[in-house]
Amino acid sequence: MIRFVARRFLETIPVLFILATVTFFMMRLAPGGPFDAEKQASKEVRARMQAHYGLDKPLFEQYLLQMKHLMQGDLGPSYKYPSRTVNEIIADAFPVSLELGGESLAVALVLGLLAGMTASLRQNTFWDHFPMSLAMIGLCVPTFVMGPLLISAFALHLDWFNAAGWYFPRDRVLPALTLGAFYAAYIARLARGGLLEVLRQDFVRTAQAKGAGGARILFKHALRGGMLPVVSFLGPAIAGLLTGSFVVETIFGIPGLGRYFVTAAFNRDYFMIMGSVLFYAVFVIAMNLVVDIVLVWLNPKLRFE
Amino acid sequence: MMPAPTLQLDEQVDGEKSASFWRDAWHRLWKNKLALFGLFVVAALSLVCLLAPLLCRYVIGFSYEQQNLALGPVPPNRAHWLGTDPLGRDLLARVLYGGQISLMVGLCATGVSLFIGVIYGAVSGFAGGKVDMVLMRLVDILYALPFTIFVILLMVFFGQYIILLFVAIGAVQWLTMARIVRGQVMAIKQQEFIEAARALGLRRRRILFRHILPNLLGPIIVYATLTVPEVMLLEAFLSFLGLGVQPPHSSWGVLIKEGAEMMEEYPWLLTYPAVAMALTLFSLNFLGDGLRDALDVRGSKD
Repeated sequence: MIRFVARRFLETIPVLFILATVTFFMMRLAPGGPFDAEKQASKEVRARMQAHYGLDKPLFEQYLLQMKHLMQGDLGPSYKYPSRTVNEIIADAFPVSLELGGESLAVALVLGLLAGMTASLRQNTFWDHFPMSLAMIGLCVPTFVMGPLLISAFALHLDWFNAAGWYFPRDRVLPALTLGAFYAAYIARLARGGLLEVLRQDFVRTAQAKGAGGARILFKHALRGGMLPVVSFLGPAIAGLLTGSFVVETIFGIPGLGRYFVTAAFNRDYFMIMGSVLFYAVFVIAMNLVVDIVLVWLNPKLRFE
Repeated sequence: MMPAPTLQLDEQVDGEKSASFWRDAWHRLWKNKLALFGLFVVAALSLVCLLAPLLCRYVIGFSYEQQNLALGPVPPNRAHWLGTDPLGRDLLARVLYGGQISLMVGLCATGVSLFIGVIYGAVSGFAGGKVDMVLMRLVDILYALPFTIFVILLMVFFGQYIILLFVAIGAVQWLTMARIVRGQVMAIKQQEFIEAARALGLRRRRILFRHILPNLLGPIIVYATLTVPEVMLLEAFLSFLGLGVQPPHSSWGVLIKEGAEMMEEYPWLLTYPAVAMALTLFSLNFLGDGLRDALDVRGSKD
C-alpha cells in the first residue's frame, strides 16, 4: 500500500506541472489583462503597475519565474486585493468551502443511504417507489433552482432561516441542503442498485434461510459489498461538491473559495486563478486517493496495483 | 480488397442477429410505461422547440426578443400564456427559444463527447497492452481534475461562443464514455466471431469499425441518453454564472437565472423555465433508465 501511495504521489507531480503550464498559457494568450478595468488609470500608472508585478517581462521569463515561486509554495500576490497574498486568501476562504462541502456531503450520505436502504429492502413497494421518485426529482432540479425555492419557502415565507449570510450555525442548513440534495439523490440510486445486487446473492439467501431478519442481513452482510458503487462515486462527488459550491456560495452570499475563484477569473487575477486551480486539483487528487484506499479496504478482491 | 462472398456472409449473420435483438429490446421498452412517457415528452418538447419560429409567428403572436416596456411584467393571461418578463417579452416564446438552445447544446455537446469517447475507448480497448495502459492511465488522471473549473476558465477567457460551449462541455464529458467503450471492446474482442474475422484476414480497422463497434450500439445509446441531461445541467450551471448563452438569446439556464433573481416579485419567471427544464431532464433520465433495462446494459454509473 505504501508503494501504491508513493506512486500516486509521484504521478501527481507531472500532472500538476502540466496543469500549471496549460493554465498559465491559456490565461496569457486570452485577450484582456488584469488592469483593463481601471479606466481612470493613465498609461504610465498602468505601465508601472505592470512593471511592479513583472508583467512587462517576456512571457517565457514570467512563466519560469512563476514556476519557481510555485515550487516554493508561493502562490503570489493578488491584483484584486493588493494587500493580501493568494496563500492568505485561500487560507481564509477554503475552510468556509470545506465546511459547506463537508456538511453537504453529510446531508447527502445520510439522506441518500437511508433512502437507498429502505428502497432496496422493500423493493417494488411504496417504500421503494416513493424515495426513488424523490431521488429522480432531486437529480432533475438544478442547484440554482433548489436554492431559491428553499430560500423562498423557509427563509421568506416561514422565516425559519436567514435568506443569505454565513454567520450563525443555522445559516448552514439551507446551503447544505441545497448542495447536498443532488448528491443525496445520486447516492440513493447507487445504494439501491448496489444493495439489490448483493441481496440477490447466495450468501444472503443462506443468511435468510438461517432466519436472519432484514435489518441484520443488511447491516451484517450486504452493506459492505453494496456500498462499493457509493464509495466509487464519492471521488467525483467531492470534486462536484467543491465546484458545485460556486453556485451555492453565490446564491447564499457565502465567502468561500468558489466565489473568489469565479471573481478572479472575471478579473484576470492571474495569480489567484493559478492558485485556486492548483489548490483544487491537489485537494481533489488527494480525496480520490483516499477513496481508492477505502475501496480496496471494502473489497478484498481489489488489490493496490 | 475483400473477396465478395465473405462480405455478404458477414452482413447476413450480423443483420439477423441484430434484427431480433433490437426487436426484443423494443418490446421491453414498450412495456416500460415510464420510459415511453419519457420518450414521448422528449419528442414532443423537441418538436415544439424546433417549431418555435413558426409557433411564435402564427400561434403565440410574439417573438422572443420583441420588447414591450409599457407592458412590463404581467402574470400569465390570455394574450401571454406564460406571462411576460420585465421588458415585456413573452415568456412562452422565450422558453421555446431557450429550449431550442438548451436542447441543441445538450445534443451537440453529447455528440462531441461521444465522438471523442468512443474513438478513444475503442482504440484503447482494441490495441490493448502498453497503449491501453497509457491511454487509460491518462483518463484516470483527467478524472481526478476538477474539470468544471477549466470550463469556467475557457468560457471567461475566450468569450461565450456557443461552439466553444459544445467543445468545452464535450471535452469534459467524454471520460466515462471512453471507459465504458473500452470495457465492452475488451470483452467483445475475445469472442469467436472476431477471431473468425481475423482468420479471414480482415484488416484491424475494419474489424473494429464493422464488427466490434456495431455491437456497442446499446451501451452507447444508453449512455448518450444519460449524458444529455448532464450536459444540459452543465450548460445551465455556466449560464447561471453568466458564462453561457449571451442575450438577446436565451437558454433555460439563462431564464432560470433571471427568474431566480426576481422570484419574489414575479414567480412565474422562475416556475415555467424551471418546470420545462426539470421535465426534460426527468424524461431523459427515465428514457435512459428504460433503455438500459431494455438493452440490458450494465452501466458503470449505477
